[in-house]
Amino acid sequence: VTRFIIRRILWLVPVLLFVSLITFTLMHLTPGGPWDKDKPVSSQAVANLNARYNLDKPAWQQYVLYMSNALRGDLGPSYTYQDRSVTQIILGGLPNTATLGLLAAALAMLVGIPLGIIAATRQNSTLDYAALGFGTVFASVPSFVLGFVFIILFALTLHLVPTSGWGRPENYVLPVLTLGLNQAALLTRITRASVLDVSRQDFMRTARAKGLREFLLIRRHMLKNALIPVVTVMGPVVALLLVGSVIVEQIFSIPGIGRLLVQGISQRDYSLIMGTTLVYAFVIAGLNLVVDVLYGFIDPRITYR
Amino acid sequence: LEPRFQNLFSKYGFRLVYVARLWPLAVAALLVLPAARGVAAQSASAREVTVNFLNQGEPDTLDPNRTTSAFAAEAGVVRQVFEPLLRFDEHLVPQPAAAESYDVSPDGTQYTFHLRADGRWSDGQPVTAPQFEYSWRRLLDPALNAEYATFFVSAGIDSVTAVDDLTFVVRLAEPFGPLPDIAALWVGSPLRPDVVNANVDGWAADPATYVGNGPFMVSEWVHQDHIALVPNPAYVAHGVWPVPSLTRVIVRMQTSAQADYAAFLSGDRDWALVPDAELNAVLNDADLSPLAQPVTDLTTFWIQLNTVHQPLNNTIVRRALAKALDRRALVRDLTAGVAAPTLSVLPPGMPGHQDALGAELDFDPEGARTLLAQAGFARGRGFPKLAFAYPNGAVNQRRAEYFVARWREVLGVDIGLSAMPNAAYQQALHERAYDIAFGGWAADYPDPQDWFAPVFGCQGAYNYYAYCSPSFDQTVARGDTAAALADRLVYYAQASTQLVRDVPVIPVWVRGRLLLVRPWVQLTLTAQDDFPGSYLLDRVVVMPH
Repeated sequence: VTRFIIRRILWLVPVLLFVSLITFTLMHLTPGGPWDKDKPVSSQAVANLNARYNLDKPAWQQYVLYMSNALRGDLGPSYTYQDRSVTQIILGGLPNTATLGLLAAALAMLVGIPLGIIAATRQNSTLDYAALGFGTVFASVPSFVLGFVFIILFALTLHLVPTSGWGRPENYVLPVLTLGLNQAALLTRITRASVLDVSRQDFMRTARAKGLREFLLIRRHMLKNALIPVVTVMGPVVALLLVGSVIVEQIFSIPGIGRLLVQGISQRDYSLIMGTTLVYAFVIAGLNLVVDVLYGFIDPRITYR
Repeated sequence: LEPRFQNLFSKYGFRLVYVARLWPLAVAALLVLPAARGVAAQSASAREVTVNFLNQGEPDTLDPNRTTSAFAAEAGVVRQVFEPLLRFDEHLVPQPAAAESYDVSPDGTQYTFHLRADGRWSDGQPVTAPQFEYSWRRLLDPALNAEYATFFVSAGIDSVTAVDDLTFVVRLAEPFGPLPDIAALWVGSPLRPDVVNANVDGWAADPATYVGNGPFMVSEWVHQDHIALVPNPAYVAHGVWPVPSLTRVIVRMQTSAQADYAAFLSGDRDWALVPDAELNAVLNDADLSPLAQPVTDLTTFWIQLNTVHQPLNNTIVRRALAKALDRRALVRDLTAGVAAPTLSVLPPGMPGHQDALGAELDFDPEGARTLLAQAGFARGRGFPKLAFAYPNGAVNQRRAEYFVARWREVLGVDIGLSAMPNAAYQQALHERAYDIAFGGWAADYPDPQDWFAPVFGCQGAYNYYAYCSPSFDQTVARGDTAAALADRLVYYAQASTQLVRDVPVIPVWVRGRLLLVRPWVQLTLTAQDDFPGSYLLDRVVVMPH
């Protein structure tokens, strides 16, 4: 297992290089540069700025320079926020995005998986239909609609929580609900389908015929098998939570890196775009690794090579 | 400064004020959530306020020299922390601030500022003339790439010198009337060389080293979230300037106008702007309308005409288009009556504004038709196909459609619509590759000089109309260099009259916004507030409540 993990970590390097190369290329091909503002900037100023940010060098040199600095943890100076480096900016925002994403993931699992199991074990009951309804509604309503519905309902009408902001526990409620319920819906549907699939298998019928109690049946035989597809989607789910936070961070004005990415793109802040993209890529690749390792614990048939 | 036409804030067009219609849902939620606890309307201290000055988000920088024009909102913070030589009072007159007085040489080319002896930085150090010299030199150094330096450059500053600790002298190449306004801009605040040089790139990002000489200081900066201001203990009342009454100000960085408005409704803001889409709803709401205050500022919106394109190169056609618009009706229909109709370029509140100017461009359908016939396009026949260019966005589209419909109705001319992304729109303006477009000007400082040469002069950087009149340029140059304001205003009046006659732009309205203010908050507003209330924050009073 250790060798597998080490090999996978080494694989991260080409993956990140590839992501950075694509981002770098697309970024420089997009029309408009960091100095194209409403107010025209003098050519002398543009020359000064280009020199400061190495933009006067050929593109490949810029890339090599950037990557060699990035490897040493220096993501360069921000083009917009003149007084802080991108590393500082991202380190400031990452804990907030991570808190939001992890709380939402916890909510998604705590709601989605039990609901899926309950729905499947009571197929076609009212409870099942309610769970299906939950799964359909929250999977299809986009977060920028859901977020505002929650604001209207819980903040403006009921005055239970503030409309936006970050830092105090009551600030977390709406963003986590908005972000988490969508993925909870997805997990409900996947868990339900997977449990139903497993419960129709022969070994389930055998176990039941042996007179095993229903609770043990579900725990020992059904869940272990039914959870494999669920774990598979957990990687993408957490990734979606991180990426999905871009919109939720905007709605609730959360100081995370999703907002930084959006601002970076609209202002062509090259180093901020590169930095946030690399951090996203690193986190997502890392999560996939965690999921792959988890497989082994759930399904002994899977071996690492 | 060009006003922004992108509809930055209405990405999520929900009508939050129609909350009442969601009562059934609310009742359902009440059953689910029994422990309803009010978080609203609890302010920790009676003299603390929360407001969203930074509605364009995290400031790029709080370095006074380097603030950028595209995000002028950050000046709302800089102005609290630093005190320039002069500061604008509520009537926008530059009043002595860090300087207690100034003299002008008889030829108008030398300004001598006498600093107060009791000026102090927030760390207790005295405010001195060399600190002004350092700041102004740094600002004018091209290596700093300071965007707002252009105002100091175009003032023709020859040299800046600290003669002694309390005397600061500015020499000009030729007389420049608005120099006191320039000296009152936050960009020319004093700076401490010891502080800046200790951490060239980071001193303005850290509240510990961000020392100022203004009424407030930054006590906390949570990036992407808020900045907290507290009174500067070293600041003493002087001249017309009081010590702040507020004990703490939380400056939010909410970029969505809808979300900021929602925060006001839930009690998290002491005052806020109403988003365009909610204007009518607020004005018709029994609870909110008593809190609403309309404010206008020194921003004129106009329709700009490309004066070299056929047939807009004919002044008579431009005049006909101007006379076909009923400003009162369009202010009512497009801005819920919050803006103020106008027929000339300089808005009310600017020195040199004349109420009666432009009457000949006022709504007169019959006169407009006669003019168009005179130009050879009776009832719009033979009128070339023109396009109205505008940046993408629902608000802009509605406005463009409205104008085009009025022209069709009154003059029978058929003008097409041409929507484009904002970058392409800016480019079309810069290259004069358009027929008709939205335009306007927002005062950078309250002097008419700012409104003529840069905007309508033959060489004006913002003259997108290809309008060029040597006689106009001469008049304006006389106004810019004359000594006394009264003399200068005579020239500017001539220039304004010529713009009404030549119609390079069709003035439409003076920007108006609607503010919601808690009953216990008293604001002192100026016509120059980027975010209303951000100019004279030291005069904001919170009454016991």
